[in-house]
Amino acid sequence: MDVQTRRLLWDYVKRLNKESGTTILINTHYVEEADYLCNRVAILNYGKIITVNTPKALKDLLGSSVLSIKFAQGALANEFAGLLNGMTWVKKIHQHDAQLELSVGNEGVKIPEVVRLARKHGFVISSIDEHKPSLEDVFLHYVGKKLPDEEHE
Amino acid sequence: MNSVIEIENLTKEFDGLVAVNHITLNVGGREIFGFLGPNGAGKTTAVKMLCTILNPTAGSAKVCGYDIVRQRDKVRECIGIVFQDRAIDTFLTGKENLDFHARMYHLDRKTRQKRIVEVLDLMDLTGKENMRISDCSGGTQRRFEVARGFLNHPKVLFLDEPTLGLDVQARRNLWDYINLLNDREGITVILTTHYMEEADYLCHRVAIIDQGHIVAMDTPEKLKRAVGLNLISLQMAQDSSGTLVDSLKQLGWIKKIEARDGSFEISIDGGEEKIPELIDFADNRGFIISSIKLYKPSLEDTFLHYTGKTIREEEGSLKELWKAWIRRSEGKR
Repeated sequence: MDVQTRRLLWDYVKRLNKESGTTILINTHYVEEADYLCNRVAILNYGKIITVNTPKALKDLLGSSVLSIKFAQGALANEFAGLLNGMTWVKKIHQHDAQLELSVGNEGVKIPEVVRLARKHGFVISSIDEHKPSLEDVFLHYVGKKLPDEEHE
Repeated sequence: MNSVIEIENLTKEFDGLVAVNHITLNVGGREIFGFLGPNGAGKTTAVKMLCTILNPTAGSAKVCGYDIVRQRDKVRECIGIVFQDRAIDTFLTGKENLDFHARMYHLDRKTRQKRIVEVLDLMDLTGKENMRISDCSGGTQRRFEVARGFLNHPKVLFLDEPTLGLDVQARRNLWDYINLLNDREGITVILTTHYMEEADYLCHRVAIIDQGHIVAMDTPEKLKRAVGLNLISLQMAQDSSGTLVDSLKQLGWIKKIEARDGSFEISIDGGEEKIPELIDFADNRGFIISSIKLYKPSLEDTFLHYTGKTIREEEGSLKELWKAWIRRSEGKR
């Protein structure tokens, strides 16, 4: 189904629900679709319901968002990572070259604070952005990232 | 020039319907190139011509330097295809499927054995080769198909909707394998997909096709930027709207500012790199930003920009929507 048809069908499903009061059960592999359409979702694995909730609540519950921070050079990223290592609000740090990915708590430190912290210690951040968890992240959190060998129908 | 695919004015007409209308483009070696378009846009027809399944009405194309009409056999030798519909024998094992396919390419026994071991290894299928395909998961079946497409050591691999119907994990795994083939084996990949997220993740460049024409062609990143400006939303620690707006206007890359009680929406010509700059700029003038968020147009926004209105906006009754859906489904080919 192309993008336009998909959206048309989504709209149809929403209207059917709203205008005719029809209860709708959806099975899908496309988590974005579930996020857009569903009031509530159940995540199933191995025949069991692992969790049931609204998409928003599921995303909020997962908590941690990720800050991507880029520096002009790898050495700077390395040094800044060292500085962050001692901070309680930093859950995890990943470094690829001049880029850092920080997992931070939901209530945690925000972009402006990180920029100010860097400046205070003489670092210049070249770019920074925050990624909140998607419903797909939630799904993978509960179901796990399987190795290809463990895939099943 | 190291183009692996050269297309010039390629055209296909069916009984007066121009399905592909004078398409011109080059695809370089080692590129992952995506064809995107609504149903009936002409992307499948274009790909079929490149695979020598259809002959063009006008124009020409070369794949690996061979003409798609005059040197069909040569073209076929250097391409691999993974079709949208399952095209693997579910009653045979994975290995039997691979062996059958290798025989179709007239590979001798020794080469067949060697290649089968090689593609099984490449797709992490070693150990599963004696399972009947019908007993394999959807993701594994798909990987056998990609492995089969790679048996003849193609320079170009055509993938038509490769992840259709796969679950999240299997989809992500297949993406990794496609990247691996491209990266390690240096293979050029031509991908068609309806999933913009997939195109955005995998493709170095994409062509958006609508009604037989290429309406846009570039890297996903550039296409997204061309369609709309990124938006930054700002929350201030204290209400300081008036004076901050005046200062912000000095910055050339800020295109539009909308203020509403303590928060701002700023359209910017740029991306993540403007965030630290903006925070420093505000701090230096005594305005404290308490939170900042960047919104970027998605490739799906871009796609809809080029291929027509989102039908979601269409007014009308349920009945009309239903009819429109049937119409569009029937238009699918």
